[in-house]
Amino acid sequence: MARFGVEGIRYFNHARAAGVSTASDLTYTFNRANGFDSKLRGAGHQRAFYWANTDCWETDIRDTDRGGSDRSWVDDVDLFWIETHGNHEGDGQARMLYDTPQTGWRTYSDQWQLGENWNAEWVMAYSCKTVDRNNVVGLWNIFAGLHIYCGAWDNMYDAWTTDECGEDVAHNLVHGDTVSHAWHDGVSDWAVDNHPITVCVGNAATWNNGNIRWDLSYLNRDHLWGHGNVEPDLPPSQQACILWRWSEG
Amino acid sequence: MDSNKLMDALGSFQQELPSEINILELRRSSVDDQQRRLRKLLKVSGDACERDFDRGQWQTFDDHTLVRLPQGAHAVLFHASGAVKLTSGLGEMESLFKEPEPKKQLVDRAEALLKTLGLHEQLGRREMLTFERLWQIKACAADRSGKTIEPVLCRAVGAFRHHVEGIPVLGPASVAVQLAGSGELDMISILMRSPEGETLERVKALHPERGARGIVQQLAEQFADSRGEIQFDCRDGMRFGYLSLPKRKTQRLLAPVYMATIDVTHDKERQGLVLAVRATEKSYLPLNPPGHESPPSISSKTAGQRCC
Repeated sequence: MARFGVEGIRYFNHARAAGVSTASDLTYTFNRANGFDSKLRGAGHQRAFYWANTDCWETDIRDTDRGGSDRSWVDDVDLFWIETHGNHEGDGQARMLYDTPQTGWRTYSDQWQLGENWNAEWVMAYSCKTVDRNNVVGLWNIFAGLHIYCGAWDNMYDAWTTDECGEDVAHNLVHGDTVSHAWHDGVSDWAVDNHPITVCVGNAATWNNGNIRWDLSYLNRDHLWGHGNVEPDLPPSQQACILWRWSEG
Repeated sequence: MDSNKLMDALGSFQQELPSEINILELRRSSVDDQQRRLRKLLKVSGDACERDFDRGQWQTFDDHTLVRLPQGAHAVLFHASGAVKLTSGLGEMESLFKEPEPKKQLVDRAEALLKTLGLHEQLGRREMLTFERLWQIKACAADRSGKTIEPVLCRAVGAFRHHVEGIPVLGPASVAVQLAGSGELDMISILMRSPEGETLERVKALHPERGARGIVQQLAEQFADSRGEIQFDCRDGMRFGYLSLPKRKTQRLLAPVYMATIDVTHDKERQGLVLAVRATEKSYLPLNPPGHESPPSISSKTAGQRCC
């Protein structure tokens, strides 16, 4: 079975007071995070941590080699769910906001390196625009063994209409859907334009000289531990391509 | 906050409002009734994609029913609303479209599939389903040199809106049919709350300007302590309709609301909100309920403790 971690930030009053951001508080952060958490635990998966608000730190996902402590948190679990405000940099890096500076107010994905010798297979970020669809390769460095990054290429909506998304994603995962499908389907109600995207890396056989073997990709083959096949990690030296799948309406 | 600009966007309201609206009691179905309807849906869906969905393992839980079907297909029924979702079990990246198709063609295909499933025939006299939006799920890839392939179309999703007495029932798509490349059904979800027949009250709708003011007021409260430049956009304008709550929530009646999707741009962050306000003097539905808090059992990281 899987070990998972959850981080959810609903309140941003410290960031606002410090003049770091004008972003408002979110409302349904914990509806989604609690739903995700309880559904996975109900299916026998082990929660390693669940941090909320100012207990969520940017160092939790920052690589240990770069002064972070991902080895103890995000890179110590198979599956990581985070909800906060986000966006991306001009070079395609993901960027997310925290409500306490440990040691920065924001995380930048050029400082992530997930999966190395540790555990992280899947990261799910319910956060706006952390993937630049015109520059997805800007995320390549995060895949040091990580299988799939699940995020958004534009806004993700915080609304009573999307408050069941966390439970829906987890429901899909524990009923044998692929991780990629679980994300796309779970955060989509086909009315609110949530812009889901899943990003993974593939080897030379998957790239196949540009005639992509989609059937070999993590998108097609990875399931949550205990609910189907999980492909082996792909170290950077064997990564020949980056693949992404998105919904647009 | 530039409320005038937002008011203009919300005020560009095109829908024609009825002079009076019925507050309608919703049909209450037993789990047995819901399961009977699901069996019918499985039968016609199985026929539509040439699969045997008659045989399945049924498990009934407190809040949902799960049906495991052959070849990885499964269906789930949510007891609170009667919503169902059937997934075919096709691989995520299998049965892709061989080439992009014009939107019109995809919409036609989705409508044809919906007809095959006979959903229109299950509607009451005062109900109808109309096409609302086409979604496309695509995939792309690039190599280390930056060479990027042409995107492939993986799935097309036709979203349909339920109308009762000519008024759209807003909320999640009422029906969504997901097509694979071969044209076969990959997924269908249905969330339609149908009236029982009883009209509880007949009321006048509030003027759209009051709806717009209510939405602007909610935003002003939410962003009260944000200092700095913030941009609000309401691309689709304000909508009027009955409201369906999400699938895990029970609902006793249909009552009208004004609803708007707001995109918020900050210096560094982006934000998206969906806001609803009642379109009647009296309040009938629990709109914009307060969100949950984090579980009380989790301890503080600064205390050096892990939660479990």
